[in-house]
Amino acid sequence: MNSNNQAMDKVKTVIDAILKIFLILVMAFPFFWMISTALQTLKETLQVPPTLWPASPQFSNFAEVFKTIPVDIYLKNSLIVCTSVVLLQFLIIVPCAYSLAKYDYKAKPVIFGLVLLGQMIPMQLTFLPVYLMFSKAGLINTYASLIVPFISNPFGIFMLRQYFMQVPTEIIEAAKLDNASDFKIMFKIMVPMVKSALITIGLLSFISNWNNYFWALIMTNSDAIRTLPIGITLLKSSETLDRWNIIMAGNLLLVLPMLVLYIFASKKIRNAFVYSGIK
Amino acid sequence: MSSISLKNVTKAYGDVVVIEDLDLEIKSGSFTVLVGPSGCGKSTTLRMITGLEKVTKGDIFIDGVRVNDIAPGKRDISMVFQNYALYPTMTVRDNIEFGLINQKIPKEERNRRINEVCNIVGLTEYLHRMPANLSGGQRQRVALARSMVKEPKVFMMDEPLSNLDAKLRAAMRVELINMHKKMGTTFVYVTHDQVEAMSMATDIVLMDEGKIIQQSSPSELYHNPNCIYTAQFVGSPQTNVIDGHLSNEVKLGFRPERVRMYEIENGINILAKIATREMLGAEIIYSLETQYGTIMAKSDKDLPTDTELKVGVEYSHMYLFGADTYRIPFTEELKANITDVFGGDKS
Amino acid sequence: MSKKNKHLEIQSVAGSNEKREKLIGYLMALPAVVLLIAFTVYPLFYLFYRSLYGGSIITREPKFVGIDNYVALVESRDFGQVLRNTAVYTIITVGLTMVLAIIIAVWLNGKRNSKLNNIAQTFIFTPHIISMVSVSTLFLWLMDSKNGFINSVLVALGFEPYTFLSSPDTALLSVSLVSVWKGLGYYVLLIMAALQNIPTSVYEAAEMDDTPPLRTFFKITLPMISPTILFISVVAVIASFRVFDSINIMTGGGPLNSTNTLVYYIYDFAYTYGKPGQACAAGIVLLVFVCIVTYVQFLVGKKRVHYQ
Repeated sequence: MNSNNQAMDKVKTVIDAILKIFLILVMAFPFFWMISTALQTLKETLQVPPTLWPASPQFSNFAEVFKTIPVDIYLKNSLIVCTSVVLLQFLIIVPCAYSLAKYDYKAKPVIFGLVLLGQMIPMQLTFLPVYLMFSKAGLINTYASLIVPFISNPFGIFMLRQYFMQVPTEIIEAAKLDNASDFKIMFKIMVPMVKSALITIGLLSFISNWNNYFWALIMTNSDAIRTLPIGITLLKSSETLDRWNIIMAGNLLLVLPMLVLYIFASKKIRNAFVYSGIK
Repeated sequence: MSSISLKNVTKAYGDVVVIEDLDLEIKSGSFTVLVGPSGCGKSTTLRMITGLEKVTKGDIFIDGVRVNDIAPGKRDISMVFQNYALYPTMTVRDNIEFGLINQKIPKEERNRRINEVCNIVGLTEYLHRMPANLSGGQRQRVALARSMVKEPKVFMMDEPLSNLDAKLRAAMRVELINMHKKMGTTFVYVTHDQVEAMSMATDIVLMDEGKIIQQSSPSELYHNPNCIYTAQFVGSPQTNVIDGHLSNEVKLGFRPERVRMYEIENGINILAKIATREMLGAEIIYSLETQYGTIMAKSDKDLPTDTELKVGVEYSHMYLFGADTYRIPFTEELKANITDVFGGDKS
Repeated sequence: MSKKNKHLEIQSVAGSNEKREKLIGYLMALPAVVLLIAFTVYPLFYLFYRSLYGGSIITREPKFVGIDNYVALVESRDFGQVLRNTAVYTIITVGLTMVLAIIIAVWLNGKRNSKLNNIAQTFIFTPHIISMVSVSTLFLWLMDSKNGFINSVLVALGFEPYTFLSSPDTALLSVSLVSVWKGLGYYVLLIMAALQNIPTSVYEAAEMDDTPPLRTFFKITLPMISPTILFISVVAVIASFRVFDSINIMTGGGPLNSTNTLVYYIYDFAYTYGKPGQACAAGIVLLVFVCIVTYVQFLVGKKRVHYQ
């Protein structure tokens, strides 16, 4: 009886492992395939049955991407937009969250409701009016149209407010007794105490802005201002034969920064998403 | 009603051995309490008997049957957890009924058992409440009811009273003792509280660092501790243990309540000065300064601080401990030596 | 800089400490409030306002048409199709995602093969952090009817190639599968966090009660994570309503309108057909759906959900 149970258990463990490996393959294979295709020759991509791995990896495909579309411009734009949003938003959301957490005034519930509303309303609802608004103001195809709408990050305000609420009021009172100005209190005392929340918000915000395709599609139509996600889609045109190896090489360029970020900070990133989900 | 037997049981977590070669016999129908400080292995031992923890080496027998490979739910034992572990999304009634349904007990029998148990434990009005809406004491009783209703051979309890306030704890102790008397089922109970152990147990198993120090009845444990550890574990304030001032590192132990605040016959008498006193009501706890160190005494005699007096301890109330901290017999020779050192009346 | 000046100004003008505190509170929140109103509140009002007018994007003075745009929506067969597509897409995506996420989360939370659990968790979550553009492009290639890997394998095994994105019967399902693949990791992550909040002693009590594993899952695990399940289901539903990127890249709404969903319809009408009025009307419809779903979540959350 004893050895039977043990044997059954071992069998279950093996089957369990096989299934899990299958699951890992299903999730990982597309990435592998993307890399493989990016390194194949055009002929290899057209072969049936498909070539699993190129005979000789064509790193020149990446150079070809740069020749076909102005990747350097797109990259520059993406970086400018992302870093600007991440940095500028702190100037906006930190005071607001602090105000909602530690100050008392009549309109506070209304303002908090506004923040909640901001979290609820997706950009797919607001894009058209904002586009029309920006259009009238001549702000289409500018960095402003890509940055300003996102620096009031309502999720960031919400999360920071929660963190600020957990800071004991006594610390603030002690600082006031030491004659510190409100802004000094905010930046020198409160902010250092919520560092981890700031990192979380920064990470999430960087990732979501880097990957943002929809908003950039709406607000830009000129190469000078386009961001990387838009650029990659331009690799695939409907007229010529699709050069999937070049397209995948370009795709890899878009994916790589996020993958690298994930490799270095996977725990932190996952925790960030857990927090955003549990609220 | 069942006996439990642990033979050569070892428990290791990786390289760390927490329990080594443990032998334990739990008598059928007893109320056996495993007691000891945090980390002594009492909970681990309990959990190995239930099967929630796997045995690294050795065997566990319930009623003569080796249960090492039998699932916890099939050992015919029940468990009350320290934090009750009620199913939070079910009503009280469903919590109690849950295990019965698993055993495929027919509805009528289930209802009968549930009603009976609820009457005993006093839960009938709360059957439709959710655990979140119950007080600590009520939740505890649901946990009890859940384990009783299965009519198991053994009741396992892991510090079930430690999350209750003092008054409730005292009341529950009495209830548990009555339960045991009425049902006669074997109880295996884990606690770190020696008062609980002494008041409820028929057998106490005192443990430390994964080993059994002494296993005996409460009275035997109190009157006849086998070593300094045991002597000092039971009783408050702790048993006094002072250097015997003899050649072979013998130590002398006696309980504070055995210290007489006057000179006696048939024992030793020591010169002492009252340093502090703690008024308990019917009794007073004194800390006495003597040339042999500080001794604690518990007496109903009321004397002011700074009183100098001779206090006495009878030979029959003394424990002698050897260099290895274990009890050594109180021979006539030792008696003479002690009297020589401390001064006293040998009459 | 200008904020600091205002600070000093207030100090001299307001006098009492409380008033000053209140003003500072307002000031600190002001920039965020202005932005939120500009980019959240105002657009919603404008959406409604514009839906009552006709004209194109560049028309200077669009004509007031009242509910004409809404009538056009109701009468449009296309819009009916769009609503159906959105509904079907949502049901399939959310349904599949939730069922798979729960099963996988419980599975990877177990004690067996814990090293594989960690690896699996890492890989399942990876698609979530890359752009939908990347995922869509990648699957466009994988699902290609001629050279795509999946079909090559199917053909090599002797099956017929699957039509994936090229047939109106299978396109919506294909887009849905891509969303499931990308989004699964996020939901698995959240469910696992909820699972880890269940105290081990509850499971041990169930063990003592001799509970078979399936019964433990349905009567204990599932009810205890139901608040989380409900919450993320709503998140998933609203996310599905908003689908655009994958559709724009993979199918452009076709073939034969089979993947035309609400947001794509709005986009199409605004930029391709140049009828922002009707687009805004469709936007209001989307808004209504989002509000309804959020309200339902709030109601159901109160009743059914079990808290510890």
